[in-house]
Amino acid sequence: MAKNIKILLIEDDELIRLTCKNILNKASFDIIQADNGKTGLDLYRQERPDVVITDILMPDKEGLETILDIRKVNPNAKIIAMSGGGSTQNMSFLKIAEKVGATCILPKPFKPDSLLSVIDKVLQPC
Amino acid sequence: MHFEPDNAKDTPQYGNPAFMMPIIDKKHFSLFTDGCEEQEAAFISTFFASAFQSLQELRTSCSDLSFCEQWRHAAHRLKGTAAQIGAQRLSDCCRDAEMLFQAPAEEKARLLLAIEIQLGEIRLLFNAKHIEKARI
Repeated sequence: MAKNIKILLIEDDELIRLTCKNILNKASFDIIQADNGKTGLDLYRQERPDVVITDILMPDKEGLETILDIRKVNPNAKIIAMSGGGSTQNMSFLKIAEKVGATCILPKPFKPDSLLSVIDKVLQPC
Repeated sequence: MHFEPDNAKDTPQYGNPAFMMPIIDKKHFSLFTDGCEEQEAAFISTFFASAFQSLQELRTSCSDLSFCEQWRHAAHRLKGTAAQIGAQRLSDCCRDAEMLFQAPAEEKARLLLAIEIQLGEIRLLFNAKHIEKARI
């Protein structure tokens, strides 16, 4: 199932990137990585991955803005927003991510099964 | 007669669930390493590199309220990093630090100390594990 499926991971924390990379490599996904939204958006334009997984709070260009920009490039992009909680104006970042166009959300910390099942979910045909 | 020291609130409450929590949830940790020593070592060294970077950012933004967003961001990142390896106590300290990002410098110094203590405990735990392995 995972053959030829390319995933772009946008995350500023190296440990979370390593964790995702290990899980996704084992499941035979192709992974490209960026440590901020700006690089992530550039990679999205160049590589056109099947799925984007992005953190919300990041330096330089944060995840919510990145989701909006990727949606402009491709309105049908499959985007998973992940966050370890936190909120602004009494609304959780993950709820806001859904409102601005994330296809699915993934709370941190996550287990390998949760990551794989959310990818499976976004890859299901509509 | 019941005696309670003046600083009772500051002393560890061993009946409190927070103090019964392990430093690292081994079951959670092993989900990402599959018991592979090489993966475990990479995971631990990446954790400490990331954690010390966040700690440095917390230290530099601790005393100046105009850096409260840097403080909030560093606390948020370390909260996630800690939770991901199963270090719930450290993650909880960081959650408090993130929530209190606009607190005065004295309060932030207390929060920072709590984070440093938890991080030190994790370091001791992993050092002890490596020493034990070397003995075998």
